[in-house]
Amino acid sequence: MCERRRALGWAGILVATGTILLSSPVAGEASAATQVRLLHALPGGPAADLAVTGGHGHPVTLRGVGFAQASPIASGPDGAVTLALSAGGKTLVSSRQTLASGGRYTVVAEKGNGDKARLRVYRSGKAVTGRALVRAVNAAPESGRVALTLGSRKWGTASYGQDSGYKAAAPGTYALAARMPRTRSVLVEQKGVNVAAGTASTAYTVGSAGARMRFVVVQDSVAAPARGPATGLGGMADSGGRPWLAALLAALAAGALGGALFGRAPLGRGRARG
Amino acid sequence: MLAFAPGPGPREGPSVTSTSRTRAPRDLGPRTTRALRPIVAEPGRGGVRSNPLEPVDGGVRPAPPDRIAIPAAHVDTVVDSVGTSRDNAIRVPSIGRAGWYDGGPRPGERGRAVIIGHLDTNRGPGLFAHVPALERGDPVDVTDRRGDVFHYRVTTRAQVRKDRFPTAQVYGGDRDRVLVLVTCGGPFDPASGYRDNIVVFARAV
Repeated sequence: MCERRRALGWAGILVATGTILLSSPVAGEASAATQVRLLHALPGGPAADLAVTGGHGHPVTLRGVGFAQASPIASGPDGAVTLALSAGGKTLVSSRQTLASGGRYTVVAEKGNGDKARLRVYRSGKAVTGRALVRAVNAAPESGRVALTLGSRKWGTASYGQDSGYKAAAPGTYALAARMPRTRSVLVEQKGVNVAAGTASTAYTVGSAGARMRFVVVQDSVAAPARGPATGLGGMADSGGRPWLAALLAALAAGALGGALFGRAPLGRGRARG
Repeated sequence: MLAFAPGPGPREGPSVTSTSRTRAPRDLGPRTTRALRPIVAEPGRGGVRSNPLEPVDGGVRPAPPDRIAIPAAHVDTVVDSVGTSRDNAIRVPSIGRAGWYDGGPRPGERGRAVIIGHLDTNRGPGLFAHVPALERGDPVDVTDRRGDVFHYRVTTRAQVRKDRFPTAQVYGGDRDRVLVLVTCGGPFDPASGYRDNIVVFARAV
C-alpha cells in the first residue's frame, strides 16, 4: 500500500508538471486571417470601394481608393467570397472568388472590355528570410507588351494582365523601368524603389489609356519571427529572478497535493468496508 | 509613454471598414459575375530565380552591424547576428551582447533593422535595462563591420504584448532608414517570463 501511495504521488507530480508545461502560453501564434487589399488601376476611374462578402468570416469593405492607389491590407473572409467593386453607390463589377484561409491577396481593379471594369486577383508570395523578392505586374491596359528592368537588368516581359513571377534581388534601392521590348525606349521609370531583405514586393504598372503611366509598388509579405523576443529573465522583476525554480516548486507542491489526495482515497474505502 | 508608431502602411485616402458578420451585407445591385482564376505566384512554386543585382543608386550595401552605442541607455557593446529557431521565434543574443535580426534589413539600409537585447538577467539588470526609458531625440549609433557609422535618433516608443506582437510594424520595408530596438517589459511571470515587449523606433539622421 505504501509503495502504491508513493507511485501515485510520483504520478501526481508528473501530471502536475505536464499540466504546467502544457498550460504555458504559446505567444504569437501565426494568424490564419485572410488579408485583402484593393489596387485601383482603372485609368481615369473614380475612387472606388471593394466589398468582400460571403465565405467564412467578417465581411470587409475597402473604401475610397483612387486611381494608382493601394488600400491598406485588411482581414476579410475566406472561402467562396464575392468581390464587389463600386463607385458613387453603383456597382461596377462583381466577381465570385475563392480565397484561401491565411492567404494575402491584392485585388486589382482594371480595365476590361470596352469601358467595363474587371477584377483580377493576385496572391502574394511568401517572403524569404534575408532575400528581397520582387514581382512585376503589367496593369496598364494600352501599354502592350513591356520589358521591365530593375536596375540595369531585365526583369522580364509582361503583357497586360501578366506578371513576371517573383525573382530575388540584392536588397537595396533601384530604378524600376518599363520599356518597349524592341526599341528599349522608356515608357515609365521610377527611381528610388527600395527592396528590403526579408520582403516580397510587387510593382504594378498602371496608367496608359489616357492616364500617365506609373508604378505602384506594394509590399506583399515580410519574413519575420512569429512573436516578440524573450529578452528578460526576471532579475529586475519584483517576483524574484529564478523562474525555473518557481516552476519546479509549484510542480512539486501540486504533485505532493495530488499524491496525498490519491493516497487517501483507497484508505477511506478500506475503512468503510471494514 | 509615447504613442505607438505604425509602419509604412496606409497613406491618406483609402480606408477599411470591417463589419460584423451579423450585419446583413448591403445590396450589391445587379451583378456581372465573372469567374476569375487567381494568379498564384509563390516562391518555390512559381520558380523564384536567383538573380542578384547590384542596386543602381544605393551603392554598396552596408556591412552587417558590429557595435551599437546608446549613450542615454549606457549601452556600448558588440552586435551579434541572430536568426530564428525552428518554431520561428527570434533567437536571443548572449547576455551582455545585442542581437541583430539577420533576416531583415541591415542598419544603414532603408527598411527596419531590428536589434534586440536583454532587459535583465536572472540576477539583475541586463544590457537593455535602460532602453525602455529612452526618450525622443536620444541618439543611437550603429557601426558596421567595415567601420561605417550610422546615426539614428529615437522617435517613438511602445509597449506591446508578446502574444500580440505587431510583426508587420516592427519588421520589413520602409521608405526611411529605421532602427528598431526591442527588449522585454511589463509584468513578470516566473512561469512565462515578461508579458510584454518594449519597442523603440529610431530614424536615421
